[in-house]
Amino acid sequence: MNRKKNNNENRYAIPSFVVPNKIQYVFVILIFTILIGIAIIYTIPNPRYDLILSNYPLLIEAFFTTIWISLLTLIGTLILGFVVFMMLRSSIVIIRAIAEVFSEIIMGTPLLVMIFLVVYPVGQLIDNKNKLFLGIIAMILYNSPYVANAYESTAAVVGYDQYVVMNLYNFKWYQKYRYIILPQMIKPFIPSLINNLSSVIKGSALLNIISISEITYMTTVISNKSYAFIEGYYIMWLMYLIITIPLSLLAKYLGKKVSP
Amino acid sequence: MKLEFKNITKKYNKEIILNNLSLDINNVSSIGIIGESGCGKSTLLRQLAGIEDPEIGSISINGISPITQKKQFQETIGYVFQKHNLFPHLTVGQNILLILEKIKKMDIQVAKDILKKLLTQLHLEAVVDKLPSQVSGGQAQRASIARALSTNPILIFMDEPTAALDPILTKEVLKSIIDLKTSGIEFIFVTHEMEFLKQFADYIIFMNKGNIIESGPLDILKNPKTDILKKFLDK
Repeated sequence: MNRKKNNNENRYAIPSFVVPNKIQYVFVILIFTILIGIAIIYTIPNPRYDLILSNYPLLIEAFFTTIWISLLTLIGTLILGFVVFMMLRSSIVIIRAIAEVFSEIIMGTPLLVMIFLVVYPVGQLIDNKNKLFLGIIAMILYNSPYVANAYESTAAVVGYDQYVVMNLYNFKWYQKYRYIILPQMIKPFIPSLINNLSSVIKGSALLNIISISEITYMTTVISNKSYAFIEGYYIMWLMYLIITIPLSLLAKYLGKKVSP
Repeated sequence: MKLEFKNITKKYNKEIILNNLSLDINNVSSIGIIGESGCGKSTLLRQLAGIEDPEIGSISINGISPITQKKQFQETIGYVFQKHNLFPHLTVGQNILLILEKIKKMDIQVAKDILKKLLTQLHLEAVVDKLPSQVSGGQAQRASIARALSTNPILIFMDEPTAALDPILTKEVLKSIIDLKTSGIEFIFVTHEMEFLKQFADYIIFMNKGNIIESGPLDILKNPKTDILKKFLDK
């Protein structure tokens, strides 16, 4: 009985009465870890990871630089993304048009170009030479339309009926958001928030072109100095994985927890 | 109540839902709108309550227009939906307190007193701290009646308030509504429950395919003039 049910639900899976699900996961993780290990050890003969790792104080500093730049970017993105989201929902056509055109242009622009645009032409225009500040602004601009979209899809949890009630009782616009819409958006927004943080973290790698000492910049500098280029890339890779994998696991966990 | 509407026309995607409806009635306190599913009765109710506006036509209820004086009009009404339409993230009590305290800016103590009175009246004391998803359909619908009553309306609209409920819960909710008849509040409502209609309405509007076929006091149910109403009543 139990066996039959299992087969019907999941025809192509290895039945969990043969190998428990958890073991299957551990097996797959092991395989991938071995593949990564093989890449790290056998890509070049006599790899000199010690040349990179001996600079561990710099690496640790870069690791945390990446994290705080990403967090600042995320906070800024959440704010600007919310503004764009509100503009997309505006009943005034010109405001909606600005948000839509802005989103389309940014979504079609490579982050590299975005950073260049903000740091050089815009930086000159507003007479600001702080590359770190401008770089973070570029990242915020770049990510905001994606976050605005995430807001839009989570706002869909508030159905038409609820708006009818709010209008009936003459809710002011901020009362709608404060009491009804935002409180219902928080839970379903958490997973996309964390996914977004992941993409912000990876995007921050491009800040190395303006010499911000985050993970990518620092490993590149260290490997240039020691001529251990391949080793540098692998260390860089592992450092990003150390940040992003726990985050995406957290996103999955929270996503499961909030889904009805 | 004095209800007057002229030439109301409403279309959804070019399909005519309300076809040039006019009516002028006076001195009624409870109007029941009946008809087959899809005849436009809920749509008419939404226009009368100002939830939607007709493409053409004018409406006046007790001298106020729900189209041009929407805000002023909606201050004086309550609305009970087919589904309870409570805010799902707020408890039964919070659903009512939010409206009173935050939106209508009442003193918190006054709001709590009103809530307490309504909970007793509608037998909801036990579920005040539960979310709408944690209570029965009948309790949720009674909570939405409590919300409609909370702002002290002079007129309550009800759109098939028991359509989403099973027969036992229907009985329970209808009993709560019938208890309101002595409160002095006036009603305009849509229903499929003929027994409830006979007990609760003093004026009937019968609709078919976007038109008002017959309207008048309760007697029209006993002596229908048209075949369509006869057929409808036989079902």
